[in-house]
Amino acid sequence: MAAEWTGAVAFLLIPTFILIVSLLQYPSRKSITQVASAEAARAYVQVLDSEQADTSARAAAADAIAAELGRDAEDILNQMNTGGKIKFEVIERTNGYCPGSEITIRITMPAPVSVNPFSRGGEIFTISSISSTSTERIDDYAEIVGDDCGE
Amino acid sequence: MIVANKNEKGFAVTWVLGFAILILTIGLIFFEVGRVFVERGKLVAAADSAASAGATAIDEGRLLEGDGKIALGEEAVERCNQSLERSANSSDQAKSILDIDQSGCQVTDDGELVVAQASGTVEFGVIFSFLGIEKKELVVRASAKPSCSDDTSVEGGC
Repeated sequence: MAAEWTGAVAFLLIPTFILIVSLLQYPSRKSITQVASAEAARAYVQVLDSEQADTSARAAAADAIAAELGRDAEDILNQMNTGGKIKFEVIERTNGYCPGSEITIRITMPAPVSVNPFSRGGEIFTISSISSTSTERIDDYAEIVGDDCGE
Repeated sequence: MIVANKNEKGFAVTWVLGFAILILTIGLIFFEVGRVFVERGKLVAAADSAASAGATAIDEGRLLEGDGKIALGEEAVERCNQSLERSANSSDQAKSILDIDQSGCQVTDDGELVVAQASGTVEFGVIFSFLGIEKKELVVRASAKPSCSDDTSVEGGC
């Protein structure tokens, strides 16, 4: 009887629980990437300094992700800057960093197949990723610092 | 005469299996509800981005030669719609939800505001279909207005 209970819990209940907890990660991860990419794109077009745009956007994305995951923003930023699991990419700049240019930013995060339900953001292993992009336009009349226009 | 079977073999597996199915069902319900919020988030982002793009199209003629007010020009709707179309064509943005035929932009009569509407339908999976709920229609609106930068000083314009 005891062995049956142990087997049932080990092979049915725990896997189901982990499966469901992992499944429920998808909507929240997708939402985080959406928020982070929107924040990053907005920061990128609002800083109006071509040299600071990338840094500012990365910081905005890291802050958004850190706030949602309850982790340290510095750690998230390090992952982005060193090619870690969380990725930041400027995938399109229609005319460089110019007034009227459209900027598209993609944020990619790992999609945990299995998570540790007792640790926030604790991933046991991942095989896939979730990404979102956002596009913002630099104001037509913006006075931009730097000479990155047309590149 | 009926004799009670006191052999309890298999009871644990049956009980745990039932419990696992219950957890699975509840989990799927939460997943489906979460999906509605994710899809709505995509529509919000698309509408917000479209309205912001539209608000960059200032009517220069009116600003320089008309009454000097900062208002939106004819290009506002075009830029806004282009942004919606981009979102509807990008799988990383709102391709899975945004119905471009039901979405669109317009500028208010006074030319001060561009309003973007993003619409779409979330199709539910088997759990909600079983309950008779097959889809949820979502409509999101966002608006934006042009503004002066700190360096712009147009009398009465901002």
